[in-house]
Amino acid sequence: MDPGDGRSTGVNETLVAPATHAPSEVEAVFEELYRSSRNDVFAYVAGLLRDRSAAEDVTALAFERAYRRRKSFNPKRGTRRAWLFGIARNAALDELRRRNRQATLTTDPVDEGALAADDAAEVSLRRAALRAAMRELTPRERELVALKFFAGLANAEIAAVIGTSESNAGTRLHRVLEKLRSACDEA
Amino acid sequence: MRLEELERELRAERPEIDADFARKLDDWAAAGFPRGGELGSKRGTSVRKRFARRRTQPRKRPRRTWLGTWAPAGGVAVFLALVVALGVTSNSGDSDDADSGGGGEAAFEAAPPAKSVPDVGDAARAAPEAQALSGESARGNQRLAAPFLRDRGTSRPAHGKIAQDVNLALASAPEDFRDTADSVLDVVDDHGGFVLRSSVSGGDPGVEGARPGRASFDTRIPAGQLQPAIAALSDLGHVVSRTDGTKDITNRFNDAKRRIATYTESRERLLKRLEDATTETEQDAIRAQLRIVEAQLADAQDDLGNAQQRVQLVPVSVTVASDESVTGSDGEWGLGDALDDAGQVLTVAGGVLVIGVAAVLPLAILAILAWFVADRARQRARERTLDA
Repeated sequence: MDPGDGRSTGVNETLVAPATHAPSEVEAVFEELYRSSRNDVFAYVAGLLRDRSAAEDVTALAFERAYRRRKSFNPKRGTRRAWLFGIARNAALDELRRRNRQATLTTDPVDEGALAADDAAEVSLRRAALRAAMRELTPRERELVALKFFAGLANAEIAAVIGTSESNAGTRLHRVLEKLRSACDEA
Repeated sequence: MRLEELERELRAERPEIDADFARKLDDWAAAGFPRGGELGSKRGTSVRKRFARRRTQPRKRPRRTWLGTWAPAGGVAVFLALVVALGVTSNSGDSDDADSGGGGEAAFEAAPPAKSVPDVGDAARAAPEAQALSGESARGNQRLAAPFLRDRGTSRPAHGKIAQDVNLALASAPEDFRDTADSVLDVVDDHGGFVLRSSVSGGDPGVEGARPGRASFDTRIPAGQLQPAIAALSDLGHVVSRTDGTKDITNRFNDAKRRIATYTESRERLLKRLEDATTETEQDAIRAQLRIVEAQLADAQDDLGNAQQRVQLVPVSVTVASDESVTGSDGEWGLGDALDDAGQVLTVAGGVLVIGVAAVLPLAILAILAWFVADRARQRARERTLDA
């Protein structure tokens, strides 16, 4: 019998192409959630904690927790963003509890030099008044501002995150805005 | 300031993420958030702690809240209390049984060894031994009946004398009939009883056209050995019927004792009169009365002995009949036996499973409850942080 029949000869190397890791649907969805929410989560947490360093820790922790629990997400209980912000909120509140103190604002100061010279004075005054007014907000009010204007959540998502109805969330948000506006007008 | 302007200004105040941190976070996310590393949390170590070195502001030592301090201790206390309560509840039931059972055991020991009773013979031969029972033994007999009666759920007088009787009808496969009949004798003997009468007919092995086997045994079993003896007898064949009876013979017992006391007193009185008698005629008359009283006393003592024996030795009637429909043990282990064994194994396994579930389920419920309560408490504490 000819051993060469039907067989390759002179083959001394086998090339094996590694199979590329195909992410599962859950991971793909989470990746998309991460990319779309990373900055928003940080902004919300930083706005709530008013401490950039702590906000970075909490943001990392929130994403880690969310990743570990990514398969437990239940669409019936709200959107993925609301779910993610719920996790971030718990992590942030745990951080607040641990510190047990009012966080001081340590966000980077606005680069006022970048503003146009004509606008600088007016904008500076307006923002100073706004920051002063925000410092007077309670943590619960500050959280609403952070969720709405820093994280960009819709009222329905805010309601899901803080565990209330959409109308109640809208009403409370409106009150906070009125409070800020009157504080800014008085300044 | 208009609302639109305010909203625009608020959006302008949004804290922006640090580019360096964003890059590290992206890398970490791309790696699937592995534990360890610069951002990954280690078991029991929060990200915050590993970033502590980056902070210039010293952190306060976390203040323990009242709830945080006492909630775990309270949870443990409640859990222990429940466990203790459950344990006490189950133990109280057990102790009742144990006490009763212990009394029963003591009563069994108090009973005189029934081996002294002849293996086969009439009841009259055993009567004198029964008469010799002391009052203490009689009290023991009183307790002897207790376990049996408790098992059957019957009530009995607090200080009564209860006579029991059992009729047991067994069926066995034709090929096992003789062995079964022989085993009845063995069981009775093993439990300290004896056979008053027995009758075995038919069921001859290897005889063509032999009559169906039928055997009857009239036995006496010590009350203390009744339950194990009946259990052993029931294992010999298929139990066709079992009848348990009890009878309160307290009155008969008390009547015999009262008569003994009365006749004893009369006898002593007559003996004294006999000593004091001076004439022959008077002495003869007293002796005649004495003979009558002594005969009556003997009758009363016999009655008392019989009553005591009736309590101590339980009549057990056993019949064994060969029955074609009963599966016999042909000595070979077959498919049917395998199925039976498999069924028994499955039954035992199921029982163990049920017991296991019964033991674990309350603990699981408690654990879930504790987790739920702790979760609610933690969430409330978080919300309180916002109200501070």
